[in-house]
Amino acid sequence: MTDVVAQERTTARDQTINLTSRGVPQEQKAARRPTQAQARKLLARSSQPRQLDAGAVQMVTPDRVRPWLQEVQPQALQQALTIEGEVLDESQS
Amino acid sequence: MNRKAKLLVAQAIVHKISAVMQRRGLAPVFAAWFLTEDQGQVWLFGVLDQSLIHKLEDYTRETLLHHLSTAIGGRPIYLSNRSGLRYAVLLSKPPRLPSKVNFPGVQRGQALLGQRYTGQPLRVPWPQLGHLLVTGKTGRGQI
Repeated sequence: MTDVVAQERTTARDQTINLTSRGVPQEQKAARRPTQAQARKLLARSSQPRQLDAGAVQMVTPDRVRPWLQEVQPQALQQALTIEGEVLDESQS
Repeated sequence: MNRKAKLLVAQAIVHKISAVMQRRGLAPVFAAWFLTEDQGQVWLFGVLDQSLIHKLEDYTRETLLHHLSTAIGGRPIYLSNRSGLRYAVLLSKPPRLPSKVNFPGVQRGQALLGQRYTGQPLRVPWPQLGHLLVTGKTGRGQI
């Protein structure tokens, strides 16, 4: 047989929990999630030693970064051509 | 510019880029920086750690790149995003194509097509040439 007083105490505690946590609207819960994620990320970031020397510049041969160069060199050339084309058009008008 | 001077310039740029990003509320989450020289061009690559980036578009905005470029004396910054995300800074002068190229003459077995921006002649052996399309604005000499 369950003790009525104990049962009432348990029910009251459960209702209190409902009011404080489960009663929070979904939107607020969702809004809180990224903040906790950000906090975890910041904590992880501060404990990563490689971040401390990430500002150090390493000299490498072009072959080590060839795919990156092949990606940006045409962009630089394209920009140079565009600027030269604009200068040419201005001088002709 | 010698190797040491290039590294010093690169280091200064790294600090400026990081400072601008912090001012804009972005964490400078660079995993590494690489400096290299190719065909007379000096490039600095800043490799971003994408696992630490919350919103990727914040790091690729045109306004951010413009702000960064201004902070480092107008040097152009390009996005390199094939498998990963990097900022590429051109430390040397931007490439320029010559406005006039002298006729290179005739070379047996070679099609002399013009000149690269590095100044080297652009030539292709005839058997490898295949089809050739010449385009250009009116009056630009494509004949």
